[in-house]
Amino acid sequence: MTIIAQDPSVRTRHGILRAVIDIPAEPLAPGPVGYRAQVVDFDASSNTLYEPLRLGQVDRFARVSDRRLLSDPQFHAQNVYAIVMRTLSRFEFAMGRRVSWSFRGHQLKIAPHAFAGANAFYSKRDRALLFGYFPCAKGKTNYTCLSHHVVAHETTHALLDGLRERYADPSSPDQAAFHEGFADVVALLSVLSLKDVVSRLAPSRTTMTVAALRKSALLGLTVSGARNDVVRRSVQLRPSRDHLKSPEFRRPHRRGELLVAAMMNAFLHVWVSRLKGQGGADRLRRAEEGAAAADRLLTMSIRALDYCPPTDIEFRDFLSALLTADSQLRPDEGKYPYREILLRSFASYGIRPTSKGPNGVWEAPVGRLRYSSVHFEAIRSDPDEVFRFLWENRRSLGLCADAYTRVQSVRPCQRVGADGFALRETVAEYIQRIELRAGELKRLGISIPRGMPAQHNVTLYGGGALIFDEYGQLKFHVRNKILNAERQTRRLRYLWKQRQP
Amino acid sequence: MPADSKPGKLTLRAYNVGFGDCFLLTFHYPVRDRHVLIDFGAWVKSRKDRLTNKPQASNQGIATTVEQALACSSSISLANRPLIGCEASELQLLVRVAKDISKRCFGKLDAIVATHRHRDHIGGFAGRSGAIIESCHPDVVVQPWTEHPDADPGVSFLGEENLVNLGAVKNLQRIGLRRTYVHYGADSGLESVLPGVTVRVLGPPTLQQTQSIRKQRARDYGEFWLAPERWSAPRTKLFPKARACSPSRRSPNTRSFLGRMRAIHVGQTRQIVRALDKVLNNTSVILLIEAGNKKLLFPGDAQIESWSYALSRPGIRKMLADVDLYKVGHHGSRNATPKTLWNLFAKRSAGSSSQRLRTVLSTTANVHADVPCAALVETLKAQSDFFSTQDIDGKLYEDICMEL
Repeated sequence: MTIIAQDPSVRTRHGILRAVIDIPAEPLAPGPVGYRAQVVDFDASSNTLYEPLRLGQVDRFARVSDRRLLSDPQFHAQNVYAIVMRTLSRFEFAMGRRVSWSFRGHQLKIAPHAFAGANAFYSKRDRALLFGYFPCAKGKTNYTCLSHHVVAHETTHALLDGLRERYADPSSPDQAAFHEGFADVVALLSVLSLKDVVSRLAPSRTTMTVAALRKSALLGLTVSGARNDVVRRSVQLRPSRDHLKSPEFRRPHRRGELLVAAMMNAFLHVWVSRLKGQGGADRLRRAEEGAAAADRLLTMSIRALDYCPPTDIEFRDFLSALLTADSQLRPDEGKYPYREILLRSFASYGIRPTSKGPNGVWEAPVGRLRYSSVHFEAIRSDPDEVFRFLWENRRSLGLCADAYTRVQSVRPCQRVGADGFALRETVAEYIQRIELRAGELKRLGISIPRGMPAQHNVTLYGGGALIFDEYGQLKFHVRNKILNAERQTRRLRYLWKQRQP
Repeated sequence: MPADSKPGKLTLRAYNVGFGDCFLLTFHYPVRDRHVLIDFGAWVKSRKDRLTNKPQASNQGIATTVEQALACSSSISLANRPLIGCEASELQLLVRVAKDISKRCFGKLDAIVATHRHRDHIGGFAGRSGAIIESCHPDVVVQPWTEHPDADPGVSFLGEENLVNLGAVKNLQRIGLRRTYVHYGADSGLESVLPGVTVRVLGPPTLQQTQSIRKQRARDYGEFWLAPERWSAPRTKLFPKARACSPSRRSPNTRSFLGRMRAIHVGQTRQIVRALDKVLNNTSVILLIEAGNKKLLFPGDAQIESWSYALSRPGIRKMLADVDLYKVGHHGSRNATPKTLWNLFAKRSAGSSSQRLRTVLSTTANVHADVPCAALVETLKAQSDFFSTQDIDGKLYEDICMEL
């Protein structure tokens, strides 16, 4: 299917940058309406419902003019549907299983021209992605549904919210920023993993340096606007270990840029390192190496979500998860030191892995675990069985027995390794919760934020991700302990300052 | 020299209108007094609010303003429906004030200044109270340039498309023998009805004059408050040549989704109005009135962005140094009396004297969080002869007299 590969404002000498992408094959109803996404082209501002697109075997927009792409709402429907489905399939490939939207249901509604407004968002309540349109200075109209970054970014919100529902909770500056930063990372790497796009925007051989690539159109999140095109170019953020503590980076979107900068600079270093010794590499070769690097980093990033704690994520947790996710499929770094580069790049922005294990990878659980009463088949799918495992091993796993505990999900996965063999894992998440009065915090070693009344109701959250191997043995227990006094004190202090406890 | 060449005395009548502004400025001339009404709006807390004594967070407050303003905007039909809660007491208050103004000026107003279109500044110009004011036949009506009916389409959001206080706005566009729409440096038209008085317009600046408003535009662009007309209210199909279909032929599931989208659209429109509501303060008319040896400064609700232009102009700082009476901006909010402005006032002093700066604040506590700002009020009390309409106990107004 033909899509616009970046924003319509990003043009080459051939015009708007297009790409032809593969999406899961399925018999589509008019809309298009498929098994996971449903386009409803209704414009609430003018109260117009446009005729649904009927997709056939032939891509009818493969050879049409740029003008037609911009002015035909049926292409807009195709573009938005294809990008949403590609993003979903990228998640499913990386996770090695089906990935649900965050709402109860299967089909995400997509409105490519939902309203007149310079906005686009995911609405969990409406089970929908809504894209606005707005005028540009030359009397033309900009459509957010045509910006690859916007569509991929919003789709990622819908997926991430399904995988880690507590990440939308107020908790810490990092958690507030993670949703935005992660969505930007996925949006950028999705484009960069398209070889054709990279080949058309890749700089010349002489400028294949990290510094030159940072300025490339490939690395900017562009949304054409009425006055100027808005480009978020996080990759150019000057590395500094002080950013995380700086007031400038307290706001979620701005702080999220730190994650994007660390990730995208790592990508550039990997790309350049892959070309080392290939001085004469032609444009196609350079593009292939760039797309391969982006593809692997994209897979790592998405897969890392399974290795993240289900509550109160911080950037350093994500880094450990990223390194662990990759190490499971590639125990050796191989030809290109991805993990080493990631560690270096994140460190340059003051982000060091939470895990004290070798190379920042999560450590295996310590202590003797009981498996005698756990059924192998059931633990791969049954939350009650996983809870039984948790309960019987509560001491070894360091669970708070008094807290309300719920196993949120149990997901069997089958991931494909670099050697072509399948890695079978089961990922389960549990959440713990304690509700108490602020006056009782001291008993748990948690400091009461200054000014918080003793009668104030407080909820503490904790939880963990359990990664079982193909034999049902626990490989990793990635958790935020609910009675971690230092973390809870920090969290409550932040929330009280924001007045959101 | 004609007998009414200059006033010898003036009286500022500050009405107790809750969280609003209403000032009647009377210039006492040898032959006849001349009256200028500066703003006429009120915001009285509802019984529920009074019982809970709950300050409203800014957003909630604005939402209430907008929603109630919508009711007020159709005030012509108010007589046909029952009044509820604060609306009733507020409209009754406005009528009482209007009658007092009419009585005070013997049925003839020389001028009206409507600093900006917020309900707490112009709400009284609608409905029954508006009719009473209209019957006073003002000669001149001064409003900010943004209210001009033929304003640049780029700012037409401030015209009819904007829902805020439409009834009062319509009346203000109609009444008065002469209407002026002013900006920084413009002729207010007041001097023609106030002989011997100099009136300087220090705000609002035009978009050409200042970048500070433009900066706010840029920041708020996501809420498109200055976008072209079609953009804010598209009524035609986005793709005229594309085929549309009837929602009634779609599945119930789809129709239900269309209903949700319409609701989202309405919600967004309200957000836009709220966003507009926030920036309207910076369209306030700022007047520096010079009569005899006294200077009076009326800034409406102008905030830092609007003030920054006037304060950057040559000579203005010097002109403001010897202000005698300052109407405290925006009910005493923290950003409407910039410290730069306050520090300019040479007549502020710790000790009392006949030349000491007078400050007048029209406000009510517990309507908006942190308004009036405690730190500002403390400074006003310490460094000027401070008067607040909150201090009027059970009375409709307080008169402040000045010899010129």
